[in-house]
Amino acid sequence: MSSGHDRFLELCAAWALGALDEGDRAPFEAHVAAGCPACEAEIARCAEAAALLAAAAPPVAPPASLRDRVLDAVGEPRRGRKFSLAPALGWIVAAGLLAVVLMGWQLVTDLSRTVRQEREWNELLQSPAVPLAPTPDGARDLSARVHYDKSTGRALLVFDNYRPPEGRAYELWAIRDKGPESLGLLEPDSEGRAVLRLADAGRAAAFAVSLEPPGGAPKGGGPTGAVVSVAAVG
Amino acid sequence: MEAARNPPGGDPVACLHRIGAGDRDALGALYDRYTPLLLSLARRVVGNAADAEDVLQQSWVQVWHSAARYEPARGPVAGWLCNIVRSRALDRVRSRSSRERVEGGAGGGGSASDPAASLVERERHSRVRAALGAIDASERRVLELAYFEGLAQSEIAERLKAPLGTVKTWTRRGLSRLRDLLQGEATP
Repeated sequence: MSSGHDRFLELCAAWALGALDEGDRAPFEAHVAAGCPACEAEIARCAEAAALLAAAAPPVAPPASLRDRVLDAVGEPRRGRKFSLAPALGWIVAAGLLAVVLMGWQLVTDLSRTVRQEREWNELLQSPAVPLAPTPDGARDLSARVHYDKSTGRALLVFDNYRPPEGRAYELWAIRDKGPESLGLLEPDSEGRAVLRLADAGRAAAFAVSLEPPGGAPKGGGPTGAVVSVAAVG
Repeated sequence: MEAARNPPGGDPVACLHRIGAGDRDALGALYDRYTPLLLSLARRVVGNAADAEDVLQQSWVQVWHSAARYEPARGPVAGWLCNIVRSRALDRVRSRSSRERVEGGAGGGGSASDPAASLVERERHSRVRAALGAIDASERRVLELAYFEGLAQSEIAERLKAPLGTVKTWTRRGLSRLRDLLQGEATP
């Protein structure tokens, strides 16, 4: 073992973590490429530990739609498709570009407004959230939270696992001094995920979700089905 | 939501060989086995669900095209996949401004896990967090900065106001201790 070898052996952990500085990486990789069983073995050990480190990330359940996206993306022929635009289509593209330029100013104006609104929503999203805790009538895996700004009435609700039973729908309620008021039906995706942005949810002491017939509870009244989750925000 | 106890797809190395030969079913099997871990990793690095899912899609496409480049001698399949995802996730973070990070964010270090994640994933997460909690705080910080934030050792030294040599020692010792504490823990 050469005197320089220990130095390389000590770099294996940083290499496995992808943290080697450029100055160290090139000589290290050259050393390993030249063949060094001791470093190879140490790299394998460190890589194993680094892979375990990945599990320190809070677990996230993959949405079912992601699998389809991935398999669709690799479903293309490996060499890629060859596109050949017929020359006659060229002028259509040019006309399209011209139209885009003419619409530009309007787009910029709309975009800046959209960006401002998105920023406001993002700020709300970064504010502390209150979880909607499942009631004894709600399934334990129901997960939801509400970000609520009392001063503006703006509310952002994020739902997960809200898959209603066949022929039923989840309805969101604001609980006010004068009683519950419907804020509408949830329209979750196949994974039971939904995000609801309410520009003005009014003054609410709590938010609650109930299980209702497909069209929701009769207008003007309160929940007719079981309340499955609730968050006190008052 | 409970994950299968027996990993789908059988031997992951054999799966990679089949993927190299253009077998989409093998990719599906590997996807099912590793995506919960990989998506959690991507989410931890990029800080939001949409970017994390984009990163995962790009990573699996990369696996599809480069399965033949996997070298078993350099570590387990899980590690190779994690490196691909981590590298793409860090690229994503570097290519955007911090303002665009919507939730959480790199370095958040939160342990709020998705209740929809499988019990197996949540248990493994608890064990690894516990092991990380048991090692020296400086060593833990170095591992997290390197792995989740993609900092090189000299950048870590600067961030922690510590000598580079010390950071190198913390890195080596931290990973070694984590390995000892998690001995017997099956590689994901």
